[in-house]
Amino acid sequence: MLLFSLGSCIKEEALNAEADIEGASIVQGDQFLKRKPSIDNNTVIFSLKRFTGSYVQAPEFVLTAGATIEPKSGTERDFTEPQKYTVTSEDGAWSKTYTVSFVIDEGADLYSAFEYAEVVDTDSPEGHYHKFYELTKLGQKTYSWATANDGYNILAATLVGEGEQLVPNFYPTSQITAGYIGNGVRLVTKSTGSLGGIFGTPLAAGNLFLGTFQTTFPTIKSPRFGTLYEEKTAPLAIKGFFKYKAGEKFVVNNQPSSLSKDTWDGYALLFEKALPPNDDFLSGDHGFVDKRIVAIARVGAKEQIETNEWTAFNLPFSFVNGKSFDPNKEYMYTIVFSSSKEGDKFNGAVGSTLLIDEVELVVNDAQ
Amino acid sequence: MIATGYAQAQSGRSNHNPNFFNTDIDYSVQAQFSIGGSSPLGLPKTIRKIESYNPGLQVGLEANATKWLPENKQWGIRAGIRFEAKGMKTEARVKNYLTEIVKDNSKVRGYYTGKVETNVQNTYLTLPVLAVYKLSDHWNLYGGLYFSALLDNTFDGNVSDGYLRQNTPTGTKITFEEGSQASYDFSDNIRKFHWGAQLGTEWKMNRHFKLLTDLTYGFNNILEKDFTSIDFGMHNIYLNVGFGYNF
Repeated sequence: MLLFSLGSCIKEEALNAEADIEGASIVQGDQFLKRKPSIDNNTVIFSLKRFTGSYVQAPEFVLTAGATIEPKSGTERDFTEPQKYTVTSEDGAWSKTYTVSFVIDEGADLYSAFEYAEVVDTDSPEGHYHKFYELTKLGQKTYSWATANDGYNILAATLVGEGEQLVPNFYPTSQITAGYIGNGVRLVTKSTGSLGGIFGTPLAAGNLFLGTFQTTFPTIKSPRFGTLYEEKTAPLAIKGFFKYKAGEKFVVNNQPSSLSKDTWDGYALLFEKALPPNDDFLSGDHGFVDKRIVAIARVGAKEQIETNEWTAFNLPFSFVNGKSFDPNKEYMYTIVFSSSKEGDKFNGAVGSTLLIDEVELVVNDAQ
Repeated sequence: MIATGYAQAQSGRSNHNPNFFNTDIDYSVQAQFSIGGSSPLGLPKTIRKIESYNPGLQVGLEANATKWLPENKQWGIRAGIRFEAKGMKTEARVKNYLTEIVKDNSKVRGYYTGKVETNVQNTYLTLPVLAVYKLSDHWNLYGGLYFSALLDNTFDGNVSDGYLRQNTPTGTKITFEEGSQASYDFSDNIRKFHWGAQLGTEWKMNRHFKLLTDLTYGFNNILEKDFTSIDFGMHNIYLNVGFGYNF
């Protein structure tokens, strides 16, 4: 009797309250776009293969069902500068502003100096953290390097202790002014507090990688490693400079661990593109055994030391899985740094600090 | 009352000392099974589908006394004491369901769309105070109030196969991939005392045995007043079926 009453009183569905851009396209996108537009909660970036003489575009958007966008989808606008769009939910109660930009994508720079970072300010929840970018020859921003700051931001405001402030260097990954040359990057393994455990992330290693970050549970699926590899020969090595100091108390949250003291990780992967939709990335749980991996370059005991001085590293690539480089195939690659080697298993020491600067992917330009 | 007791003693049996507690009074013990749940009154729009419901085995044990009023012995007053379990397990699909995950003063709040599993299992010490009306030699109707104190409490569950929009429906989207879940536990936020109404009927098989069924409805939200992790109230609503023995 009671059950019938429960089952029968499902009310009419409320109008949608979300206001997302779920998809974005331009006419003849295959011809003009280098890759799928990148969409996050507040930005859409179209990567153009080359400059066609004008930034006038009429992008079209797929929205949350029932939502509306202003200016309308398909409106011609000049994207010399990024343009704002406002999406309003079906129920009219919520709206969100997106910044939409068109950039000429020259591919990720082989050389990263980490000179540029902007502060991302969020208000839901409150947050202020660094996002690294590079400037193209035309002075446009591209965002090849990603961090897990987006994910940490979910909890960040709840973790600010006495005497601390919610500022960019409170986050696991931030820019520092004292790099090897100019600015650099600081990666710190942070506690995620008591809530972190509920989310299955008892700590957050500072990380920095080529790819994107999409907050997902299980958390290990959030980092999406990969950017298009556009060279005609196999990569030879990655080079750069680092400093490292391990945190005091190494905590193992997921057995087994091969460490008794924290250390850092730095590696690069060359991997094959797969079939859509997950064709262009490897997620955080690749474990170096994904069948798509072609070549690996990774730090070893020689680099995994504590040092207070900027120290050079030079890591050669080795082919794996019996594969070799085929210039006719499409490849992706990534470079990943982490302040705790087993950060993917949430093993590490709070306070472990890795500084990174002047990272270069070495390719044989002579051919 | 003393006068009444004395008057009845005049007409009643005289082989024992008559008093309030042995004259026109029935003592009984009874056991019940309960089926029901902690439910909002009218499901909020955010609940789109109840995918499964399991009442579990909820048992109650009660001892009570019914004092029949002297005029015609049609009306009586019943008071008792009952240990009872109330609980359920549900799996529901929700859309834009305001909730929060809290631990040690930190919390993540937001609008959740996806699957929610809820497990409620509470034990109460309940004092029913009921009026009983004798319909016939076999049938009694009873109804009144009950007062419950919480002895043991569980209200937990998890969310999975969906996503949370942090703080507002346009906030950061946190996706829970298939098979991945975040658990919540509101056990410490269950109201310690609540009261409600009870209405039912019993059938006297013979002098000693009876079958009974009643409905109990809690007036209070089962969660504490200042609890804001769920934005609608939930009430204990149970159908109880049992049997009893009259001494």
